Amino acid sequence: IPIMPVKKVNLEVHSPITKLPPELFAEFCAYLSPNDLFILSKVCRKFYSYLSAPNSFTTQQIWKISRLKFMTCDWMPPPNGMSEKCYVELLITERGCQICKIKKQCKIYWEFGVRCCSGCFIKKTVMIEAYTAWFKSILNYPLELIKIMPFINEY
Amino acid sequence: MTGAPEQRNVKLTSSEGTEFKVERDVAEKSVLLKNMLEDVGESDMAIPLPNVTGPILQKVIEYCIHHRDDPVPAHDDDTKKTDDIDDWDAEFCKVDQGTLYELILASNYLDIKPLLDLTCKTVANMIKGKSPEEIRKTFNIANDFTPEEEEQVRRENEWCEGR
Repeated sequence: IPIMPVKKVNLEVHSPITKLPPELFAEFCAYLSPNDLFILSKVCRKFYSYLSAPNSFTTQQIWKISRLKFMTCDWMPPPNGMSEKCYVELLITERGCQICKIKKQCKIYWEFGVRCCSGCFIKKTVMIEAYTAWFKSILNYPLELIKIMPFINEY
Repeated sequence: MTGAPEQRNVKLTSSEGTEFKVERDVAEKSVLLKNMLEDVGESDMAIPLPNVTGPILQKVIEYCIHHRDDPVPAHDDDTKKTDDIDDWDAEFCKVDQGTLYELILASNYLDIKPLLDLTCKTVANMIKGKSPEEIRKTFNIANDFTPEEEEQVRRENEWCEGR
């Protein structure tokens, strides 16, 4: 459609805010709650990339500042290997189960790095006994591997 | 280095060559200029600011004059920033978005932290509590996601649309 590119160029000209470099983008993000940041990441590709780069120091800093400012009791750093964005997502318990996205009642399982409802938890995990047998007889993997799998003692 | 009353004027030149005369304590609200003046010492030479246009420099000077007696901000902790904006500052920020954007760049370049904080707070206030579509409208931003990407982003955090 020939009208589209013209329209796009026009819009870009009028949005200087999208031209700010990441470190200045981070400056105004310091005043936004995690929820506002999630919404901001859905506005356009540039904002999404600024807010969703797990290896960017600036990105991690944005989420960290927002978490420390707006989620007062969660001063612990994220678990090893988890990005600040994922950590914030995990901590917002009122969003409910991360798996079915329906159930509101849920719990953070730190061992698995996920927040889910009991139904999804049962669906997505296996009992160690069943698992051991399956591992040995069907997959023929060394049992030592089981020892390094995340697990919890429950039920 | 003690506060001798050697209030001299400092000359600044904007990108298009317009000259501005300001008192030294006003100019020193900018850490960049403060360092420069300390290095250079007494001089009648105008300091060129090729990154700042005349109208923006005018605004920046207006801000620095109003805040000339403010205490130097302590090394601030990002988590302790307040969201309050006083009336004068709020009025000062009632400008078009292009100007606001230029002010952010200029305060960053000149290293005037309180002005950078103020302008960024103003932008943040324009974002707070809005939906993605409202933010696009406010800032005239094109939704440049492909339908597939949009669907992916939506699925990633569908819970944040408040329901």
